[in-house]
Amino acid sequence: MTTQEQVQSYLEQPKRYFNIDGLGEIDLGVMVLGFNLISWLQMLTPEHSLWHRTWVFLLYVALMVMVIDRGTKFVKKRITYPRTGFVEYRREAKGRIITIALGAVTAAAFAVLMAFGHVNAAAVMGMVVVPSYAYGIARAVQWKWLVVAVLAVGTLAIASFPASLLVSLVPDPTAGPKSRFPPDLAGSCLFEELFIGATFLASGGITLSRYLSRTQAPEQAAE
Amino acid sequence: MNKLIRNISELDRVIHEPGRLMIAALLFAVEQADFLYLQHETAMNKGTLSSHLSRMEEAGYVEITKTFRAKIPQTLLRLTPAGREAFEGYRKNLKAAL
Repeated sequence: MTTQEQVQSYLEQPKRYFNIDGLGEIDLGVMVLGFNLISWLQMLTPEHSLWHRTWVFLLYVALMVMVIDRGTKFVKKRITYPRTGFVEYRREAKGRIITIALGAVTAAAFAVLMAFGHVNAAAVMGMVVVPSYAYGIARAVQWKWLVVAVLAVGTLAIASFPASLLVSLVPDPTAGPKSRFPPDLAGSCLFEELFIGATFLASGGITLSRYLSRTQAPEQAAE
Repeated sequence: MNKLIRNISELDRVIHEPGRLMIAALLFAVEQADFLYLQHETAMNKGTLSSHLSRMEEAGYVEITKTFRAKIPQTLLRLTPAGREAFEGYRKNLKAAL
């Protein structure tokens, strides 16, 4: 490794530190499962119910983000900082704008694909999630390549599910997003979301338990 | 003097030392961090890390603040504007020299 590559690696180290306790993945998993839950609720309830109101959806998302943010800060403060140290990240407007723009472009491309053609939703979601996970997380932690493989194989399996099975997953053919999307597409989205969320949560949970067993709490370290 | 050699001679000696280069890069990527974090990430012992930080503080590159977090002493470290400038300059000179 050249000196420049070494410096670049040091510069990326603090970003990787955020997921040293698995909380990065747990946060993502909770968020994906949260969106999955509200999608199910919208499909299970009639169109005029509360779950279809825009303000309820926005309130739900705001509450979910607040719980994730507060929960992460609580765990970091009680577990991570006393064991392996405290870091305050730089708040760069440029980085946030790039992240938001990338997210918006991906969401727009996904929506266009859904609206204009009969695409395989699970395959499209997998094509976004698997490479992003490999680049963002697995690159730094060797065993996470196993998670990449699980995500890829699982996505392929869901993408190859027969349409009849996917349609049977969607409870009411006239309710919610299903009225805007074909039933098999909605079923594919829901199933893939559930799979991705559960995988992130499991992977984050394993990382957290490994982190706890490998690091010492301050009082133990003092002894 | 040959431009290449001049670039090498212009490399900041305070940052060029491998241990301090690691500290500077880690602190450059964050707003601030504590001593425990640097110790964990660099795998240096307390003495070595303290000595590197003192050298960087003398050069005006690092700001050290002693504080308390939940009644436990905490040493917070951040790169000063001069430290950020020196690190950016070092990277530029290194790129030109290699």
